[in-house]
Amino acid sequence: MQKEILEIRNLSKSYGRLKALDSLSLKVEKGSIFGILGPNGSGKTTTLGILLDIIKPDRGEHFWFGKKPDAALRKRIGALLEQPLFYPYLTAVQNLKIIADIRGAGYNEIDEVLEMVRLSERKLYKYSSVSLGMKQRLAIAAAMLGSPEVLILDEPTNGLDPKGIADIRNLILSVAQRGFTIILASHLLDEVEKVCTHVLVLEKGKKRYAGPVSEALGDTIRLEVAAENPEKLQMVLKQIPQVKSVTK
Amino acid sequence: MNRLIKIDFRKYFYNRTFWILSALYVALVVLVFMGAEAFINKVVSNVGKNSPVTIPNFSLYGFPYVWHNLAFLAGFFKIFLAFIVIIFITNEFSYKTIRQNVMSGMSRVEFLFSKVIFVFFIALAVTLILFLSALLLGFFYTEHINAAMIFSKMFFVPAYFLEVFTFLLMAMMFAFLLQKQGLAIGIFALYYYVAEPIIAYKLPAGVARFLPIKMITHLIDIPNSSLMKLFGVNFRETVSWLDVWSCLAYSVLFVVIVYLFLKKKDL
Repeated sequence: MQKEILEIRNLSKSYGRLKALDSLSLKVEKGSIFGILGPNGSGKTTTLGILLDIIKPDRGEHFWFGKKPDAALRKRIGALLEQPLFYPYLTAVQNLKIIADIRGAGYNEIDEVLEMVRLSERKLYKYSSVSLGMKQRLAIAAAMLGSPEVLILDEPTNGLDPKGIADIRNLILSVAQRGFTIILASHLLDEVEKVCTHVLVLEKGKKRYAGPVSEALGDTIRLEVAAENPEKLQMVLKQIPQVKSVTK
Repeated sequence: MNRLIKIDFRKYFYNRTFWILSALYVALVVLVFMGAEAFINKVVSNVGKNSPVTIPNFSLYGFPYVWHNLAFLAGFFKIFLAFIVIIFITNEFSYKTIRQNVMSGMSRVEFLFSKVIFVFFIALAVTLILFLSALLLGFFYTEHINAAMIFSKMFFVPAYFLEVFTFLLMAMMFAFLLQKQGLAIGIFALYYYVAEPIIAYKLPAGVARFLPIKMITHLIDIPNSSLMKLFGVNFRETVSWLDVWSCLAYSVLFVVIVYLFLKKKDL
């Protein structure tokens, strides 16, 4: 069985002279809640945009489920990128029907996902007339349509009040319990700490850390080092008492 | 394809602006069709009051000329349809729903194709309005009708379809490339009314006739009338295959340009 659901190799993207993403490589394991942590402008949304074919990378490649990405594979991924994006004149249900048609999901799933995000009572409200919190929840409902295997959430608690934030976090945890792999981008350490199992720390488009959250927050630090002779480096590192483990 | 039609149908069917603009277009065109003959004859009789020669009345609605006359008249209103197309395509960028569509699993090619289908159906709908209007007016205003009379110049109807389809694909291209509603409408109108006529004026006639708007409007030439014949003017009463193929080539070109643009573009 495929262990890695996503593999990224040397992804780079620049906007003019600004390097938004610099040779990012990483793997995301199936079933994990993978956080992408970094301040605004660190490359989180650019990374997710590339993974969803919204942004074209300058270099590098990525593989979903071990395959080159295409539209059919994207149907196995549900996503909320930056902000909810729906037709303002349509109701929640009408918007979800469009997404269901795109994803090839049945309309019977709509009530189910609306129930999951507690929006059933507002399903006939026009999108333009509901609060930001409800819009966020509708976007999560849309992302879950068609039973995707991966859920990508970019700053899902942005602009929400404390209760809304708690609601969304609980929702993410309950969704994770259903077996989804979740990739969550946030600039809030607290959010990643509370929700995620693994984390990638980005700064100015560069990877600073990638690994389990417990390691990132504990005494353990994971370092990536390179040498002309990796075997020799491995031997030397293993002799250092403070080094717990060495992997190639 | 059915899936794409269903998706786009939902986007427009529940949109009040779409229905208001469509109703306005239909009302305007039908009113012009019905009032054109009386209006032209009134203008001609006023202008020709002191003319030594008696100017004959125009008859727009008689078979088989009704097809040509109304197709030519309807051509003036295609700019209105272009604005509808631009509004609804640029909406996808201003609402950022193009992102949501692609993220949810629609390929960029499918998205483009859904808009080509949208344009196709608009062209088809307005062609149907032309066909029905011409048919009804023809039956009402023609004496001694026979089948040959009805069908002999009906080729102007598919020619009108091609004229509108190509023109709307051009509007679609402007919408995709410029993405901002006001800007796209402004630049398109500027090109249509100002830029191309100036370019055409500067170029030799043989080259200018291949400019897109010239080519599209040249599909259906000005209808002949007894007044024009009086002055020895004789316009083309057929549709040239060169124009048809050129319009088809332009249609493909507009779609290919959008495809190449979308393929590389960050959404």
